[in-house]
Amino acid sequence: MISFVWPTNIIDLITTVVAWCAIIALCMYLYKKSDQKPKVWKVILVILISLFSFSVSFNPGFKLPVLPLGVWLLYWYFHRKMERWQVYRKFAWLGFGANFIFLTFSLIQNPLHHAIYPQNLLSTYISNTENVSITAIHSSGTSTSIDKSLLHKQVPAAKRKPIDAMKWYNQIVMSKLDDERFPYIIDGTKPKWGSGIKSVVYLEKDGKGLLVTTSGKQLYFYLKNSIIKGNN
Amino acid sequence: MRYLKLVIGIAALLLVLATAFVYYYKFAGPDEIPSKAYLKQGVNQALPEAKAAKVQDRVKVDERHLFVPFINQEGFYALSTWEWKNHKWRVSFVDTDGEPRVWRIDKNEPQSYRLIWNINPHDQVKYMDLYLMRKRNFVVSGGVGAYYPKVQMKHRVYISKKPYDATRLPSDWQQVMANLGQIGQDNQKQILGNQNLYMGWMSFNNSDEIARPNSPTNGYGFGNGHESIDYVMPLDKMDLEN
Repeated sequence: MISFVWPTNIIDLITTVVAWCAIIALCMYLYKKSDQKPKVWKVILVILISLFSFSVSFNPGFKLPVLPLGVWLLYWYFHRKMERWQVYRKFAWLGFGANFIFLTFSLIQNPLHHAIYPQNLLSTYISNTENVSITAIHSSGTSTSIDKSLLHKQVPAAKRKPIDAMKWYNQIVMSKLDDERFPYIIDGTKPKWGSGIKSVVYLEKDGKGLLVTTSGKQLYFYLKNSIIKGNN
Repeated sequence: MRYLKLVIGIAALLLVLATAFVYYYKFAGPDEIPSKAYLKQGVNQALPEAKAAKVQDRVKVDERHLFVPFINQEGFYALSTWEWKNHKWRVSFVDTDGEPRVWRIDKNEPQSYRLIWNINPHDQVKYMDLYLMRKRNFVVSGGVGAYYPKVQMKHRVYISKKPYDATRLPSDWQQVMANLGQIGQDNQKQILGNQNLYMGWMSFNNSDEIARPNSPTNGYGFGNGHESIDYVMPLDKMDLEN
C-alpha cells in the first residue's frame, strides 16, 4: 500500500516552494532578455543538467557546491557550436547557481523553524489540551484522569528543568520499591501545527513533571500544580 | 492496415484475459471457510511432525486470515495460522507448542495484531497475565541525558473459560504502541522492533501460583517465511515490578 503523507513541516515546504519560485522567476527573466529565444524544453534540460555539481561537505551539516560539473559537461557538448553556447550559457550558470539558492534557503530553515516553534517552550509540544487523557504504562500509575484546564493554564509558563537521567535511573533501580518515576503517557497532546514535530509526553507520578520525548532529544518541564485529578 | 483491427482486437482480448487472471488470483476474496478436514490435512502436509488429530475451531480474524487451533495425536494443544493467497487457503504457520505468540498480520497496524495461544485447560493453568514491556533505560551523550521510563502493562485472560483465542491487543496497549511508534527512527512504524517494546506472559493455577502449561519437550514448527509471528517471552517474578 502506498500512503500519501501530508508534509507536516510547513517551514520546509514553504522554503522549498519559495526557492523554486525564485529560480523559475530568474529563468523567466533571462528568457525575456534573450534576443534569440531557444526552445523551452531545451532550456529546462540545460538547467537540470547544470544542477549537477561536486559539493564539499561541511561539518555543521551542509554541502557547498564547488565544481560546476553540469556546466562543464554542457560546455564540452557545445564547444564546437559557440553561437548556440552563447544562447544557453546563462541558463547553465543559472542551473549551477540554483544550488546556492537551495543551500541558502535550507540554511535559513532551521533558525526560522526555531523562531516560529521555540524548542524551549512547552507550548510548542502541547498546543491543544482539548482531547488529552492519560494512559498508565506502569503499575505504579494508579490515577486515571487529569485536569485538562489546569494543564492548559500551566503550559504557557512552564519552566524547563535539566534531565538527570542517570540519577533517575539509579534511584529507581537501587530502591526497594517498584515505582516508575513516569508511569503515564499523556495522549492527545499535539505539537504546534506546521512544526512537523512528533513527540511523546510522559507524566511524572506526582502529576507535575512532563518528560517530552522527540526524535531528536528530550525536554523536562516541571509544573507548579499537579494535573492529576485527586492529587491536589 | 487491414490487419490493424485484428491486432487491436486480439490485444484487447489479451488485456481482458490478463485482468481477469490477475483479479482471480490476487484480488478475489475467499468464498467460504475450509472444512476442518481440509485444515487438518493441510497442517499435516506442511508439517508431518505436527500429527494434527482434531481441529478445535476455525477463527476468522479477517477476510483473508484464519486462526486454527488444533490438538495433536500426543494430546498437545497447538497453533496454526492460514492465509487466503492466490485463490487458495494456505497454511502459513504451525507450532506444536501452544504458548502465546503475537501475530502481526499487518506490521504497520497495531489494530491488526492478534495474541494467539492454545493451552490445555487440564494443564492446571487457570489464568494468564500478558504484558507489554519495555526496559527502563537512560542515555547520556555529550552531557545531554535522556531517560526512558519502564513500560509494564498487564492484561489478564482466563484459560479455563476458553483454551484458545486470537484476541486483539487491549486498547491501551494499542494507544501506547501508536504513541511510541510515531517517533521511531527512519520514520518507520516498526512498532515492536524500534521502540524496544516486547511482550511477555506468565500463567497461574487455581491457587494463584505460577504454573506453566505442559509443552512438548520437542516442539515442531513450520513457517512460510513471510508471516510475522513473534515470540512472547515467558516471564518470572523477577522480570516484573509490583
